[in-house]
Amino acid sequence: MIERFHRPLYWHIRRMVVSHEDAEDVLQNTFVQIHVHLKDLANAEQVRSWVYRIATNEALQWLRQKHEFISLDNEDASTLLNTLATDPHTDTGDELVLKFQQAVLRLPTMQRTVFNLRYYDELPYEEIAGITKSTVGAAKTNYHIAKEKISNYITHGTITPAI
Amino acid sequence: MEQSPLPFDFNTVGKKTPYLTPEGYFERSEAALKAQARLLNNRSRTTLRRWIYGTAASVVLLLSAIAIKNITNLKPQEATPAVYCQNANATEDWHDFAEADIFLENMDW
Repeated sequence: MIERFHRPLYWHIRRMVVSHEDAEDVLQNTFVQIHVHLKDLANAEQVRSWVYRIATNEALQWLRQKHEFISLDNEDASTLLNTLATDPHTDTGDELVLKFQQAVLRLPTMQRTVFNLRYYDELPYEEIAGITKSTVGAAKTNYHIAKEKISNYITHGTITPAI
Repeated sequence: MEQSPLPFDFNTVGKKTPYLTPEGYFERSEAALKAQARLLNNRSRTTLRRWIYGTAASVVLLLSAIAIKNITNLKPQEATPAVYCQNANATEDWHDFAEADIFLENMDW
């Protein structure tokens, strides 16, 4: 389990919490939860969705505790953008890559989570819906809106449409 | 990745992110996570062992308490009036039987 998932889960968590040290702590918490609840895993075929769901929940819980976020759709992106700018493990050399990530961080949490799971981890919408406790339709909509917003931010400097 | 009709071509960035990790982080991290898993396994085994020993000790104590209670409650059994009645009837029966028996009746006592 650790060999198979620790790298992809680290990157998934890192994209959510931004800071390397926070990602390290959340990854550790995630594996503790995986270990504690492994006996509850009913279907071994769904292990990937299951571990991603635990990692996502741990990352969101961490963000809520750290930044006092209220819900998935109500947050302040400035904290994450500030972390991106100040974290010693951020590569600021490529402006386009940095701007792209800034655009991702400006998305509401649900859209950002769906975008990361689809774009970087290439998970199917069915799994993303299971991880984010939404529907396949909602996952698709969130992904396409997120892409549109990122595209607008990079080309026009604005994160519209504000959905 | 999917082709997009949007003005920005996502392929120009691809999956690149500005996130870096310290040198050798994943090797150290994997070893640390495995050590953590071993620790959790040992702890859960110890907890299970403690639970089994604790339960066994409780059962032994309970059984001992029941046994001690039974021993202290033991008293010599006394004959009840019914026993006397039964014995009295037995003597009468013997007399009736002796009187009715022709051999016993004819015996020279």
